Amino acid sequence: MDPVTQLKLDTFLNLLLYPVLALATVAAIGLAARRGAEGQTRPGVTAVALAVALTISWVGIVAFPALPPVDTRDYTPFFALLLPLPFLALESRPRLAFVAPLAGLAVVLMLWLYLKPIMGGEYAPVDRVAQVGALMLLVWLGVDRLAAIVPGPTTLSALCFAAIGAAVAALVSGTAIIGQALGGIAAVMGVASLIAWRLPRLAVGRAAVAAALVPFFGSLVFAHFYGDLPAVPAAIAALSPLGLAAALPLRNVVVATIVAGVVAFIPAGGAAYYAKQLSDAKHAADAPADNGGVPVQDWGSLK
Amino acid sequence: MPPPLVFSTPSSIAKKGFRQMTRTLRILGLSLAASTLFAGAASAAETYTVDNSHTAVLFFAKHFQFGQVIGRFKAVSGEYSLDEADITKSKLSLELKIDSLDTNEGKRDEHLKGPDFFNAKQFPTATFVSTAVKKAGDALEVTGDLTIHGVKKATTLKVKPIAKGNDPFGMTRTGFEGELNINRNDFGVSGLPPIPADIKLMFSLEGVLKK
Repeated sequence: MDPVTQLKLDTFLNLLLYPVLALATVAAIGLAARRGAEGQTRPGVTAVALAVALTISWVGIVAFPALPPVDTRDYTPFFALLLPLPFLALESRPRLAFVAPLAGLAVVLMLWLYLKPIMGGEYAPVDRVAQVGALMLLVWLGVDRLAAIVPGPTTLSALCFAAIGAAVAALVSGTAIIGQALGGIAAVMGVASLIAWRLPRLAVGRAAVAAALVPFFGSLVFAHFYGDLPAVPAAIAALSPLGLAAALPLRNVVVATIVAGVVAFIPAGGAAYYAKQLSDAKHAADAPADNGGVPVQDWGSLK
Repeated sequence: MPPPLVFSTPSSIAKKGFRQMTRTLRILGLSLAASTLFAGAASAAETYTVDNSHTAVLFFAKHFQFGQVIGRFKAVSGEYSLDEADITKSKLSLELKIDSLDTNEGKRDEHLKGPDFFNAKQFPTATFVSTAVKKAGDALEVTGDLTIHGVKKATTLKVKPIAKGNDPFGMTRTGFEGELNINRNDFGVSGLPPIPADIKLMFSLEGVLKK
């Protein structure tokens, strides 16, 4: 197979087939839950299904992680699979005081393990890491609170569109793998939103929010600190799931789901646009100088 | 001016004895110097510092089916010791700064340094540290640990000695060159699968004798 065809095939596999296969897992678990628990909501099932689907998606798109991880991005599938589990115990606890310490602990653990090799240095000053941690916790608690009020498909829709914007932002900043991984998260969330709409017993609870946010935040942290995703677009993309708040006054599930998706996408898409502007500005000036004034074709173009 | 004391001595016996003693001392001194010199040559390896300005490490990666992208690591440092009496005692250690890679296109360089490939912020260097050296015909086989992207693999370099001698400025230099083929996936540099995994490395290495 020639490499151009292979690239197209890989793109298809990464952005469609792997997430769809992963979502088949979601659907299968969802159907099993439906048979086993008539009349009851099972938020834990959604969380486990999402965690499994997102882990499969990540591994399919990025790479099978080394154990112990060498490149810190390899922590992501472990985080995606394991960090939501403690939140299963908090599903029936409505108060934020129960979830805040656990979410805080998860954020600290993620930032510590992701950034340990560069923590405190030029690329990851401690104060910036602390700011990022505070932002992650703020968004986590906000989405956690909102998800308890709005219908499940609405939450998943907002997360889907936030991940689409974040994926494009990472991609245009030169981090293709993380961009594709975020695309995989978006695909999982999008189809999960449809499944949750068809299977209303699959509530999106606290652990499901954790399952979705852990790889979402992880990808953004990685793209910002190790890649070239600038701070402002990264922060806007991270905040975009809070667009879910726009669905609060809406009673109709379909309308709420669409509105939440659109409102989450506006800042995320803006983050992608801003990231593209910053990337172009960064490269426009130095590209001719690098090549002695000889114009170069954009290497990223495959045509 | 009076003659030296030794020549003014009237006794020829005394004169002869003094000359013999001087000759004996000279021979003894020469012998000692020679033995020290040869002993040194037999046991001590010469240590060279890699001269970055006369060293190149190039990599070749296919660009689809059309051509090749050729890149260079501009910052190469390290040293090697060369034991000509017993080549197996020779050693080599090299370090490449990932941030110095240059493929003549700034955007591509940043992409290669980023998380999709080398992740230079977490893994700023690639290193080679020899563990064994042996002769293989005219060349040397240098086995060692090649570490790229934090992954260490045992690798054997075929190194061809070019020359040894003094440059016009009086510095002793040696030069080597060689090639190496690696699979980038073996080192976890697995970004963008359509770009071929097989990468060719070529190096031309020059070192200056440490004084």
